[in-house]
Parts: sequence; structure tokens; C-alpha cells
Amino acid sequence: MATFMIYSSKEKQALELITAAKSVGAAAVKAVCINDEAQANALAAAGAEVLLINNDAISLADVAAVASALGQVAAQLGADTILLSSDRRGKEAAGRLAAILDAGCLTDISAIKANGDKIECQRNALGGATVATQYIASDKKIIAIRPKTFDAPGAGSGSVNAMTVDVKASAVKLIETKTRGGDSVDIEAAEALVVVGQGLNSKDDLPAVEALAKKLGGEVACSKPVATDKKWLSEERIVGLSGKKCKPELAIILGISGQVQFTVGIRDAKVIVAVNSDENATINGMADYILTADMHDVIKEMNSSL
Amino acid sequence: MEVTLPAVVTVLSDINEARIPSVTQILKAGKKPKEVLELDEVGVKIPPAASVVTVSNLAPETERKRIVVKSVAELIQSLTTEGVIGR
Repeated sequence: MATFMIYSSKEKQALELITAAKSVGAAAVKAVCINDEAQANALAAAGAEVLLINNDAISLADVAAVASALGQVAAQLGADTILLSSDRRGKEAAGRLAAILDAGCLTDISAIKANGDKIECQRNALGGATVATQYIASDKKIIAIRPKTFDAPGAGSGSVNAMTVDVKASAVKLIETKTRGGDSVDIEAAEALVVVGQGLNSKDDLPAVEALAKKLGGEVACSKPVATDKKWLSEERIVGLSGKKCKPELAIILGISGQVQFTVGIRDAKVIVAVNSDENATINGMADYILTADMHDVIKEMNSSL
Repeated sequence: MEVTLPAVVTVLSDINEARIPSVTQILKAGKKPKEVLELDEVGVKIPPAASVVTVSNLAPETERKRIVVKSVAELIQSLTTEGVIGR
């Protein structure tokens, strides 16, 4: 029987990983928390056997130190199946930990399923054009799962135990941290997204788009050219392969043809509405509701009727 | 951040504008001398078996309704029925 261990620096994602481990048959889930007692308590309340490391030498910005600590804990616990969150640092930790433990590694996983003693994982391949199903054949497995793939687990009774690890002096030094200026929107967290593309005539049309997003209780997002070429919106709002991958309840896609580089970022939305002046636009093939009309008229009409 | 050497640094694709070589430059580069080394000459060992097995790699199934609506009013009606607006 596999011994499961999970880690994420973020509480919400760590909770999701507990559910993930249980979904593939983990009887007990061991969770690692680093310098975060609040997270340790939350994970224990969700039934995890938490190992809390308090060590000021480990900075979360230094993924090498995090991976080294995780490697030591995994060795002590005899953990062979390690689940991490597939965010930027989680993916780096996955690679580093795989090297430390000589384990097989898969990242960007969007679904997992137990099949006998294998854990079958799905992830996008070929730039999102296909979905590959893969499993790790080695004894030790590291799987980084995309945030929001699983829900938080129900309450359980776990435990928190302290653990100590030795971490080498870091080769990476944090000189300063600055808060990022400008747009701090989190389109991945939005319940509704109004996504605009190159069909948008001018920057002057944006206030109406923003008004619509607000009415729907969501945010404005865009395809890449709107942010990088036209610079009408910040790069924080890009949906797609080189932007964010979003799973809102509702996505209203306005004036976007639907190339795979874009659709990979929105195809997990619950309900997709495509508004395009071209009735043969590719985007219509992946929409729940298709409206062939000028997006500007649609925005105006929706704003006045909602 | 600061790192002691040797170090591996990965950069994002938008860190700078890459210099795109012209066709003649690409053709010229093909004529430069090349030295081909075998793996054991450089001391690189490839693990005997791949640790990841691909079961399938298929285009994603899209189970979308693809309902064509004629007007904004009809769209709003449908979305209200879905429970995704007017929450």
C-alpha cells in the first residue's frame, strides 16, 4: 500500500491535495507544513497526519530548501507517493524532489484515477491540443496537481507533530520583496469571466465590458493579443496557454475566434457562451450557447437588461 | 534574488526580443563544422527505463451543448435557467 504525503505552501491547495490522495485510495494522508502553524491545524482538522517543520532557515522563496526538507521527511516517513500543487513553485519543487528521491514525476495534472496499483494522471499535451493519460511506473511517484482540480475534504480528526530537518545554507539569497504595482486581479478565482478578444474595436469599449463583468459578479479577462500587442488590459488578465487557466462557473467569450492556445485556458469553465460575428468561428464548437452577433451590440444589450 | 555560482536560471519567454536569424544566416550556420559526441564520451547516462508511461494521448472530448441562441434575451433566459446569472 502506498504511503501518501502531500505538500503545498497554500492552505487551500493543500486541502485539495488531501481530497486528491483520498480519491485514489489513500487510507491515511501525511501532510507537510513548513513554518505555518495555522495551515498545520487546518489540515489536521481535515483529517491529515500533519508534520510541522519550524525552521527559519527555510524560505518558501527558496524551492531548493523546500524540496530538500520534503525529501528528508519523505525518507523518514517512507512516503512513496507525493502530491504537490502544480503552481509555479510546486512544479519546481516537484522536479527537484524527483531528482532527490530518484522518483518519476508528472506535473500540470488535471485528473487522477486509481487503476489497480497505478495512478493514472491526465494532463494537457502538445500545447493543449490533446489530453494525455499517463502513469508513473517507478516505485516513487511525484504528482503535481493543478489547483482547483479537487474540492476541500470534509472534517476529520488528524494530528500535528513537530519534525526537524537539516537544511543546507541556501545558495539563493532573497534581497528584497516588492509588491507588484498595478493590476492585482485574480481571474482564476473569479466565478464569472467576460473574456474579450481581437473583436473588440477599441479601448474605449472596455468600460462597457467592465460594467458587464461587474453585473455578472465577475472579472474581465482577455486573449493574449489584447494585452501584449494592444496593451489594453494587463497581462494578469490573459487567458490561455501563456496566461491563466480558469475554471469559472460562467465564461462569456466575446470576439475570440477560438485557437487552441486560447481555449486551453477556458475549456474547463462550467458554462461557455460564445459571441462572435462569424457563425463558423472555431470557438462555437466548444460553447454551450452560441450567439452570432456583433459583440458590441451584445454587451450593450446585456448591460441594459441585467 | 541573488544566487551563488554555478547556477541554473530559467527565464520567461518574454524576457527579451530574440534575434531572428535570416535565411542566409541559417544556411551559413549549416556549413559550420560540427562535432558529434556519443553519450559515454561525455559521461551522460540515460536511465534504463522511462519512469512515465503514456497510456493515451487524444484530443479532449468536448461535451458542450452548442445551443444556438437568436437573441440576447434568449441567452439571458438560458443562463438564468442554468443558474449562472442572477445569483
